[in-house]
This record gives sequence, C-alpha cells and structure tokens, in this order.
Amino acid sequence: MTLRSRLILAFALILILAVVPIIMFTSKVAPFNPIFGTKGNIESSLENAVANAKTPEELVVAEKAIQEYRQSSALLEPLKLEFIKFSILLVCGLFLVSVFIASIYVKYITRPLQELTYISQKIAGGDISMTLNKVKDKEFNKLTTSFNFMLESLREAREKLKLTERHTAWQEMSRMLAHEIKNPLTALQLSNQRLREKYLTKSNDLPEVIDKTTKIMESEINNFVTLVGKFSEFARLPSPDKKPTNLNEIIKECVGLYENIPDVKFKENYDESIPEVIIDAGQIKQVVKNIIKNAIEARVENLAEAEIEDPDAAVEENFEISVTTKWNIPPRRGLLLDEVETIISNNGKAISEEDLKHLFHPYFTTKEGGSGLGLIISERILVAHNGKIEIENNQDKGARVSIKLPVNKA
Amino acid sequence: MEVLLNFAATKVIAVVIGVVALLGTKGKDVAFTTPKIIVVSDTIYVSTVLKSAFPKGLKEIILSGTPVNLRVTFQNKESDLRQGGMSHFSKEIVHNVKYNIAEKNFLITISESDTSFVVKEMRQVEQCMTNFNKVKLVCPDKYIVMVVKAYMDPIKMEAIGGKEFELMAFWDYQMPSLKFIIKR
Repeated sequence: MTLRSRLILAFALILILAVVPIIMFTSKVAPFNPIFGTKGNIESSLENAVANAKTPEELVVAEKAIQEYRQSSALLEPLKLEFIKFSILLVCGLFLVSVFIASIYVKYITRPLQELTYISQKIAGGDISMTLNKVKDKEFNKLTTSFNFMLESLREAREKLKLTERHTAWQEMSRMLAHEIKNPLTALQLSNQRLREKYLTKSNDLPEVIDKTTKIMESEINNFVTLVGKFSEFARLPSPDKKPTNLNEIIKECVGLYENIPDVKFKENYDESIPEVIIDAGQIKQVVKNIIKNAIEARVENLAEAEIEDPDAAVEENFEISVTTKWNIPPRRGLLLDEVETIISNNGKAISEEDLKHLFHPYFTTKEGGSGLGLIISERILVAHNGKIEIENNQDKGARVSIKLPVNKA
Repeated sequence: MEVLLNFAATKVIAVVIGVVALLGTKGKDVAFTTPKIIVVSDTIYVSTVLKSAFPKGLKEIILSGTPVNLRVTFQNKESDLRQGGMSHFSKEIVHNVKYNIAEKNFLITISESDTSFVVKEMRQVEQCMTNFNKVKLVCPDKYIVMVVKAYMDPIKMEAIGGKEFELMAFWDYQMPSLKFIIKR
C-alpha cells in the first residue's frame, strides 16, 4: 500500500473514531434524552397506575397519561430511525469529505517524493542531468540537498569514467591494432624476402614462386583492408537517430534476409502486444543481422568440425534459429522501466566457457577471417539506446542472445 | 494487518457509497395482495389482504387507546365508463380498532358485516384489520375497471395539544391501490 493510501486511510479512520463516540453517547449513553430515555420503566409505571386506579376519575387520568405517553412514543419512533439514518449518513459523508481533503493534502506533502521517484526513473534510464527543486519542508529539503549532492558526485564520477574509458580504449585499440597489423605485415615481409631471394639466385621455379607469393600477399592485403574497414566503422559509429518503431517489424525484416539459406529453419514467436520502442531502426537492424549471421556462421563451422569427426551426424543435424520478442514488465513498475526483449536462440553447438568470457573483447573471434568487432559494435549500439545484450548457453543445446531495449516515453 | 489495510483502502469507499445508497432506499411499501375475484351474476366477490400496513409507530398509536379507522374504497373508474361501463359504482368499507387500556384488549368493528368483536393480541388486530374477505360488490356492467384504495383517518393527539395528526404519515403518505378489470 502506498504512503498516500495509508495517510488517507489514517485520516478517515481518525475521523470515524472521533464521530462514533458522539453518536454512541447520543443514542445509548444519554439517559435523560427524551428520544432515547428508558421506555420500559415509565410505561410499566403508567400501566400500574391504570391497574391500581380506585375511582373512575383516577382511571381516566391514568388512561390519559398512558395515551399521551404512547402517542409521544409513536411520534418519536420514526424520529429515532431518522436520527440513526442521519448519523450514518453524516459519518459516511464526513468520511468521503475527509478522504477528498486528505488526498489533496497528501498529494501536496508527497510532491517532493513524486519528483524524487520521477528523477530516480530518469537516472535508471541513464539521464543524470536533472536536479531536484528545493522545497519549504525541512525534512524534504535535507533529502533534496543530499540527493542533488549525490547526483553532482555521480555526474563528476561519470565524467572521470568517460575520460578513463577513452584512455583505456585508445590504449587497447592501439595494442590490438598493432598486433593485427603486425601479422599481415610479417607475412608480406616474408613473402617479399622469399621473392627477392628466388630472383637473385635466378631460381628455376621463379614463376611458380611469384604466382604463389603474390597470392599470399594479395590475401594478406585483403585481410588488412577488411581490418581497416571494420576499425573505421567502429570509430565512426554515428549517434543514433531515434524514432518510435515497431521492433517486431524490424526483426521480421532481418529474418527475411536469411530465410532462404538451405538447412536453416527459423521459428518465429512475436508478442504482438509489445509497445513501440524509441530506436534508430538502421542501427538495431545491424545488431540483429550480426547476431543471426553469427549463429549461421557458427553452425557452418560446427558442421565442418563435425564432418571431420562424424560425417553422418553432420548431415542429419536439424539446425533451427528461434526468434522471440516479449514485453517485460518489472515487478516495481514505478522505479524500473518496462523493456522489450528479443531472444535469438539456436540449437547448434554451445559456446565454450572460456570463449563466453571474451565475446565482447575487441578483436576476439573464433571465425576464420572474422574481425572480432561485430559484437562490440552491437554492444556499443545497444548502450547508446540504454539497452543491453547478453549471451549465454541454452540448458540443453546451443546458445541464446538476449537484446533488451527500454520502453521509454521520452 | 497489511491485507486488512489494503482491503480497506481499496474497498472502503465502495462500502460507504453502498451504505448511503442502502439508507436512501425506502422500507417495505404498504400494498394489496393479488385479489381473488368471484363473479356470480351481477355480484362480484373480492378478497384481498393489505400487507405491511402496521409499522411500529402505528401499533404504538393503537396501544395508546386512540381509535384508528382504516378505510378501503372500491370504485368503477370513471374514465373507463366509455368502454361500456355505465354505473358510477362506489363502495367504502371501514375497519375500526380501539384499545381498552384498563382491560388490555382490542375492540374491532367491521362496517361491512356490521359486527364488533374483541381480540387480545396485536397480531390478531393486524390480521382482522387488513383482511378483506369476499367483499360483495353489486355492479351489472359488462366491463368494469375497479380501483381499490386504502387510507387511514387522521386522529386527534393529546400529546400534541389535541391537534390533528395524519396517520398516513406511517405509510409515507402513499395510498396503496389495486386495479382490476372484469369483462362479462
């Protein structure tokens, strides 16, 4: 129950507790009240007077007394009922009025808390640029000051982190790039040395060597160009141009690109009730395509490995990629945002525990000719959307990738 | 406790509104039961009972020894005379009760049979006063729209300085009525 409901209820209960004793006093306790006075005693006394009358005159007087008394009682009976009705209506009316007043009052006193909740939601969504307004109330003012101080510290920490991240990223990038460039350069250097040696010794197999060596050099140069291209893509990733988009449509479009690949089945399960998400459709498509492509390529590699071990088993494999979308509503909706989750799962070979740890490291790849930048670019895109990507193995077979995007009305 | 508070917070307003609505509704209305009608030649015999006619306050008035008259009228509705009815038929029956404070019994007089009798219990009074058994109506018309109405005479009340008091207040000033059609 919310603080507001509790306060309103307390307000109303206090009011009832104050009114009920008044009604009880009026209806039960007040013995001298002409309406609620003790009836039985008076009536029996009057009846005794009638029974004990000695003369006709006495009898007439006694009868007149009892007649007047009973006529009064008859008149007071409906009044008593009306009084009780009125009392109940009064209590109910006061209750409703008190709830109304309490709700206005409580809304007023809990406004800073509402503001705090709103800002907490924004912080949860990654926005820490806001500050709480100062209020008159002392207690809330302390809370506001502390909260604003915390936000300021958070902003400073984020700036420092950004700077550190930038430095670390450049260091890592330089190290990895140097390593990756060194490999093709070594191959080129060796090929060049061999070619020169064969030329100087006027070797008989010079034409074959030229042919073989230039092929190697061309291949290494191609690898080099691919690497530079991917690096350029990673470095130039633009800011997302976010618009409200139906995620199901995007996923269907991506799946459509790979549907015709032989021996790959897609099992699609879309939650049509999911709300629109604010995303850059192009970038999210890039993420989804990358994940589906990874699943298909992993399957080809697995098949190649399996074919060596057991050719029959490799042919019989029934490879399936399951694509699911769903709407996750958090249990405490006030503080956490709803999110839309896309799960791309396959029933192929599971990822080794060691590989799982390095999946999001730059230049880590298990594929021949892979750049090792696909997943890190996907992760970067999702971070820019306040979303996240998780990869884990299925309990039985294969692996699953979960992409979560917040349902943000901003 | 938490469950109770939760329940109270969400349902209490509905309960309050329900109580208010319930208090706003009226109690039982005074009404005639469905009449039993026997037609023999020009004569019609009607039997009916007046229900919920004795609220607590009215019983108290009777017990004070004040005479109470209950009148029931039978009338051929004038607007329906054009339908074939010819007679301006009208009949009134009076049931009277008077409590004897000294003897602690009730004297009941029925105008139709011109009889009086004494009963001891209020329950019997209620039964005798509200029961209209085989009321004889002589009306030769072929088409009769009969309207039956009941009301009580005002009384003089010593408790309010001998002023007149409208007993119909106990019936919320509503005259119970009954309408039936006889085609011959």
